[in-house]
Amino acid sequence: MNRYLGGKYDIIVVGGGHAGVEASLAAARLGMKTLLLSLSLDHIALMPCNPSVGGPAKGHVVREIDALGGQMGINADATQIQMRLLNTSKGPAVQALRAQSDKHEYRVRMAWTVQNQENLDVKQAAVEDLLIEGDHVAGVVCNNETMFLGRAVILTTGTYLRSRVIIGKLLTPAGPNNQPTAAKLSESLKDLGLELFRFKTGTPARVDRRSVDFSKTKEQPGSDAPLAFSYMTKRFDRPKVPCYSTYTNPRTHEIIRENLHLAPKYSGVIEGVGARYCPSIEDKVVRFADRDAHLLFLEPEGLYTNEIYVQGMSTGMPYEIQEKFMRTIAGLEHVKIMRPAYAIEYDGVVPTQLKPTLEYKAIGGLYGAGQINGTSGYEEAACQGLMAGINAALKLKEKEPLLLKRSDGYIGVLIDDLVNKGTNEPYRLFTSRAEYRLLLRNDNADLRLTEIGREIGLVDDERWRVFNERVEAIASVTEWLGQVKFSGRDAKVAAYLEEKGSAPVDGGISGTDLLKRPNIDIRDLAALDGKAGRWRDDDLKEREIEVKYEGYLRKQREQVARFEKTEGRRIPDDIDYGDVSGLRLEAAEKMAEIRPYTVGQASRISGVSPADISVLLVYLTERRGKDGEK
Amino acid sequence: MDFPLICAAATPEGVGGIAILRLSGEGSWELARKIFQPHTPFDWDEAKGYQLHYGHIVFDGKIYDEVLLALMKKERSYTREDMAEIQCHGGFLAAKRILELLIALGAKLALPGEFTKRAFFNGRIDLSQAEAVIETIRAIDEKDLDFSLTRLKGDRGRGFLKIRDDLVALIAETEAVIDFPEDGLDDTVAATIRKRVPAMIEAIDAEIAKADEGRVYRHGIVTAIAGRTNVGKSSLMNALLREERAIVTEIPGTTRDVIEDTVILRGIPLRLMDTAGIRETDDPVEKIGVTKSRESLSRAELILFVTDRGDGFDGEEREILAGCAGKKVIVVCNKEDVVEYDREAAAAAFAPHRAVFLSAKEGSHLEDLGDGIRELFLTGAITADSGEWVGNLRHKEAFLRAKEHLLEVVKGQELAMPLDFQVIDLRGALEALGEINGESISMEILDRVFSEFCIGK
Repeated sequence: MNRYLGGKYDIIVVGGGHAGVEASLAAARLGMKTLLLSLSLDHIALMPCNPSVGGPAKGHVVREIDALGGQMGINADATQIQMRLLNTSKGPAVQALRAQSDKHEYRVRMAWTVQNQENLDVKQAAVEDLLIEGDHVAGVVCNNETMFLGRAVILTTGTYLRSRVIIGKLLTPAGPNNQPTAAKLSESLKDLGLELFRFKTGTPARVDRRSVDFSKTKEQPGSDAPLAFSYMTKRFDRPKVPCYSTYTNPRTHEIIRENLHLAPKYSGVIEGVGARYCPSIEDKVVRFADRDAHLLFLEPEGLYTNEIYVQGMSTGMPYEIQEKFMRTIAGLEHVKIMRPAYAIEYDGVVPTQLKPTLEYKAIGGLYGAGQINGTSGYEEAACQGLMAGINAALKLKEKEPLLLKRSDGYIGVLIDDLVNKGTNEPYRLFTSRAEYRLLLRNDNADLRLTEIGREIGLVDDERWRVFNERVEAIASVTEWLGQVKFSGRDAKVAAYLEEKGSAPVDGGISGTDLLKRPNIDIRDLAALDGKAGRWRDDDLKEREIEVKYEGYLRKQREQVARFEKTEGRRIPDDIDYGDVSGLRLEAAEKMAEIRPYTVGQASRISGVSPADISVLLVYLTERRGKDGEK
Repeated sequence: MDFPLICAAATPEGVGGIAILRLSGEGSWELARKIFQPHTPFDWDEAKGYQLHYGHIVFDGKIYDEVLLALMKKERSYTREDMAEIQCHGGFLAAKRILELLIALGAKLALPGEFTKRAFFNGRIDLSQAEAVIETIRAIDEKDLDFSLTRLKGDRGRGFLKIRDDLVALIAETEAVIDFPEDGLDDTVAATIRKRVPAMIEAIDAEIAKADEGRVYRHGIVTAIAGRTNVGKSSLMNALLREERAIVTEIPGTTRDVIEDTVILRGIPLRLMDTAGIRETDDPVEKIGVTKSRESLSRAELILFVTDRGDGFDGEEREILAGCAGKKVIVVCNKEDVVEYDREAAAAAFAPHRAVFLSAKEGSHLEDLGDGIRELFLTGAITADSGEWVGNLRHKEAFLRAKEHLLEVVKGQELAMPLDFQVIDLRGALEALGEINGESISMEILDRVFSEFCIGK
């Protein structure tokens, strides 16, 4: 077949979802001539599921993306219709931002950003095959008889690979929102020798706002505080729209039980593996049979739509049953479905075939990011896209790759889990996946990563200036805390301590020591010292956490120091695990498959025991001795 | 590799004259400095390796033992780490107490072969020895594996498994509340922690008590017989040894080699010390026996104080008793066949020590002595025939660390620490328990969250 050569690029990104936009923006911003190919230019940065960004661990990731110079935080801030800080009572490490998004604005604004990015071409086309030269990728072949040459290709195919939408018994080969599926690309990946998996996910129904009786539900307003993911966000004048909550009831559950045989999971039409944290309503009813109510949220999808997302109501039931059981719910008695809930199955590529740079070990220059790697969620996808874009660019520039450690951020945790352990269900981040959670906080994401972003070249001068201002502000808070003395004889101080149920002070106490007491708030101390409003709350809070929980944080930093010792111990690329005497066969096979970079990484491979690591260390020590003799 | 400070007895557990305790790793000198009071002060910072220092192990105002301390610098030590060796009195009591002190102050009990492993990794041992090291590592691994698979499964390990399971459930509940704030889960987890953690600490205490008691069963109680001359110490020894007559021959001197004999009295192994010494004290010609008997007293955990009077200790007895300070003592009122004891008066006169009445010569009422010992050493932590798993010293250490973490949780609650900080110590406790059965926890918590809590969109 004669193919038209559509162009030559440094980096080609296949897919314009949340991973694809971050990947292409990062690559282009790093000076790479970049092409973004999407099945539909109307669906760039589409939110096919919940109209929200953030939450525990996910919100942390958005902050990390932002610190590295990614786009998600800025876009979410600019298109939110309410913002909340979750988990405020549960501790500083697990507090997280969550934005309710106008999903249409989100998409349009992001597409506009992408379209205006220098070095970036955006084209609508379906990629069907990859051009390979030797063991390296050379470009892509599209359905419209064109091809594009690229020195690196990043696959961000989302849930589109050989996807199939399921509603009850109705099976349609399609992507989300009845988009065309990318069936051929799936085949060609298999032909390249890559191992694929098949996952399932789902999304609840959207209902008509006008058909909901909100008086029977509970209003869930957003926060009035000026919350934002990004320090680049300066405007806080977005319209605020509330969400609403309601509950299922025994009657709902009865209808679901009566019709269980119609649910795809129970009728056996589903092949893909679903996520346990994302059960359908029928799953919840079956597995938690003793509960007679499940919480639902009604989330508006935007300012210029009547569609409401029914959070908690994911199902694979037929349309008729969906409407029937929904109408048993308080507020939804006369509900009209605008789009029914559906389940979707799709192919992905087993992520243990990736290096920590997200490049496939077997095919040079080919990268995978997002749901193709087995993850779930916009935020998880976006951070992988960013990292794949950065690493593809760094490789083409012949620079060292950017590898974030588990102690650097949630992004490090996610990628490390994926490439070492793989996943047998759609992988979502939780704060409990991070062993150094106390250090990987929402409040310090920028402090952790902005310098790295600057070094790479994604943090522009304005962001760098804002960051340095914050660093200086925090330093001045520290200085103040060390110097300021609060006197027990000061009536205001005494009254404050009494109000907080804190013991009176004899003589003077330093700000640092006083702050260590429970219930003492740093903002109050600033006010007592006549410095109210001198610092931003963010800067004060960061210091408060570091001072108040200093003992715990120090312990965790010590753990990190020990962890990083093994992270630093490199395993030579040419190691033959069959040569390592004493290594159990299972461990040798696993390590040969994953090919860990470091001893630390090896220790996290499932099926590798501490004793195997000791044996490996013996071998490495022995080998170093021998190499030394040579 | 992370090499924390470790300690262990380098000499076999038993009744050798001297026991050597070894400390290796960063901070071993500092730890030694904390507990060693030298007879002749020296400058620790300037101390040279390979010199013996005479002094005492003292901590918190309590004297543990009279010891020799050797400090070794890493350049020339076995493990190529800073090391300290404490030579203390043999028998397991002194060594055990000092070892427990080291552990309490932060050292970890070394695994078998661990000193050698370190010697290897630190480049001390020739590479040709790598194979041997691997074998050691494997052997330990397999032993642990075998251990976790067989001993702790099912009913036998129910005490341990319940603690672990409760802890996993509690962490899962906490993590679910943290990671799914919008799923309508009951947010009463702080109260749940407050309620459940003390019960877990109690259960861990029971396991520790079992381990302590297990030690009594496994290793026996080091027992010495004391008293004035001619009260029947030798007869008591013979009565206890009745079953093992075979080793006591008619040929004089043969008993001199016998350092200890183990007898089982009412199910409890007693390690009777210094048989020869005691016999000699009955010999009017050999007066040096008194000294020998003193030595054995210092090593014993239990003193059987034999007397033939019922009206309290006389002067000589008080003097002997003074050498038994800190030991558990049972007063054996011997010769009940000839002495008429007023039992109530005698019991009062010897209080707080427990008095038992028997005749060693006749062999009567030895079982009363056994009961007395049981009451003194056993708390009933292990019930007979329950077949329950009983931890060893390594397990006890893990339990102690788990307990420490849980106490931190309790403290954190008092200080109103937020949930995410409390989880750190809950997880720490679970990790410590994981060292007992070798199970890793990484995925278990999430599995539990998904199976027990209704979450998701």
